[in-house]
Amino acid sequence: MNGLLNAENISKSYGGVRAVEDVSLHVASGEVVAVVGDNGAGKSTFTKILAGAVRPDSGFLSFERRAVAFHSPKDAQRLGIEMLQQDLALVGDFNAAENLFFGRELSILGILRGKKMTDETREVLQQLGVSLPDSKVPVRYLSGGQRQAVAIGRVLAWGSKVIILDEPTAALGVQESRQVLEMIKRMRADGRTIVLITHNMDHVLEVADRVIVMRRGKKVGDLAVGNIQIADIVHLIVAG
Amino acid sequence: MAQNLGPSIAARLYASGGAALVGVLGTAFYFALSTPVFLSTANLLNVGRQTAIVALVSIGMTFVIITGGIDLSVGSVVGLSGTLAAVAIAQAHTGPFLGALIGLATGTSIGIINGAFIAILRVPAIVATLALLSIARGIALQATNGRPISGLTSSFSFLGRGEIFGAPAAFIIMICFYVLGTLILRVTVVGRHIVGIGGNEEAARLAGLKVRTYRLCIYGATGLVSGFAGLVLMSRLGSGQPTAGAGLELSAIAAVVLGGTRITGGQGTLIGSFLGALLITILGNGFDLLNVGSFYQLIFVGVVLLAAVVISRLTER
Repeated sequence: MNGLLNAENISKSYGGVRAVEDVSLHVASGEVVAVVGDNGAGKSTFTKILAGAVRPDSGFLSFERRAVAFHSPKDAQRLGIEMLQQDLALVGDFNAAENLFFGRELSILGILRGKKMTDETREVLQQLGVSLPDSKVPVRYLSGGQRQAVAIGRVLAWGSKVIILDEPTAALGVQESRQVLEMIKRMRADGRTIVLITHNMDHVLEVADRVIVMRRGKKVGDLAVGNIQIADIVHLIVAG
Repeated sequence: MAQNLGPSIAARLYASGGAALVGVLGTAFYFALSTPVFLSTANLLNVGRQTAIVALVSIGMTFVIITGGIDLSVGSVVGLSGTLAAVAIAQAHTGPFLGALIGLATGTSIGIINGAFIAILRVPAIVATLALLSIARGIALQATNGRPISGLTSSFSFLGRGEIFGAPAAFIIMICFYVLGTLILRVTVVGRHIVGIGGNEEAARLAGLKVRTYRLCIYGATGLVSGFAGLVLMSRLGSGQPTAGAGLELSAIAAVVLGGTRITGGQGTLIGSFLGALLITILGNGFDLLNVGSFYQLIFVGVVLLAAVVISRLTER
């Protein structure tokens, strides 16, 4: 129990199917941990448990050396663990600032502080290396990479300590994926702790410190990225 | 790569009520040329009074539609609220104040029942409010045996017939409601949340908003405003008519969509709805003056509603 976020012997079944079986994970502060595995390997279920979106059947979670039990994503959010789901969290008709502050608007006596929110949004996006041509444009008209930046910025703005990214580049082109990877690097440089679900092994080697390999609900590999090859990871994914 | 900088000009114009404004100016111009009566003071006051009722109901409808819902029961709520208030005043001799309170409570209750079925029991809005349309109308007819309630005290005539600075009182009150509603929608956290719920309910939930509470309150408030419109209508008619307000849901929905509110939610303005309500009323009034039959008017409102939705869809591409 030395990490920022620890999961011990987590299991979860749906009906007769064991989606996650006895998985443990220790994420240190400031670490970027990639979670890889084939479709149905249990990556999503496991990370959703970390984010409070799914309740485990058994096992324990601890955060900052204290045992925690999440009943909803809000519980996890309150502690600073936020999961970012592809496009799901954005309102297409809202501009960047409206999205960034949606649900946690800055206000005085219930009156919105529009300018302050716009300014802070620009700042947050600048930290991510993204600038929007027009801060008033609804995000539905932005590129996929820009939208992802708004979604990530949203999480950053709340000072989250652990950010769980569920395939942040899945729907993006090469250039936009690059943009997102750069954002992850910037967050890492800022000392954010990141759990990254991905299918892209190049991305794993580029931004992650450690990679967790899952297969049929079990953790079959936990490797430091420094001295491994893509082939090693792929081998574990298919044959682990 | 060219950057797409947002919605087209046509879409922006439509969404901000531009089409309704053009419609209002165009029809007013046409009717003014067609009949000298249209611009007479008496007729303009009449238009103001008629607009007030459609516009009041359209306020609630705007909020409901922005959140991705619909409320078909508003016309029946107008009828029931006015009728029960009239029964209270004329038959139970409660006095105008308590009678009005009963009317407002009636409207609010129906709204909350709508909201409870929609938000908590997850009945589709179109079904829940269609059922309440029938139930509320049935209660109004049953409570009165289908006959109008007369014998209202004259103290109740101000709402529907009184004037403030030469303008119909109901119109002025309605404008106040619009200013209040616009402020809520534009500059408050609550308004931002309401628009966001309509834009992406899942995102709203993920953001920790109490979506069900919002929905419950919005339908409740729509019932309240419709109840108030019922009082205004009852006051104008001088009696409690159990059939009053029938078909008003169609006018209100048409007004809201004409005003640029997206029928699937997430976007809309109250000023647009006001212009839409004004347009619908001017059309009805002008047709009356030109002796176009009310059956034709029904056909026309339906066509206008369809056209509005299609135009709104086309501009969004």
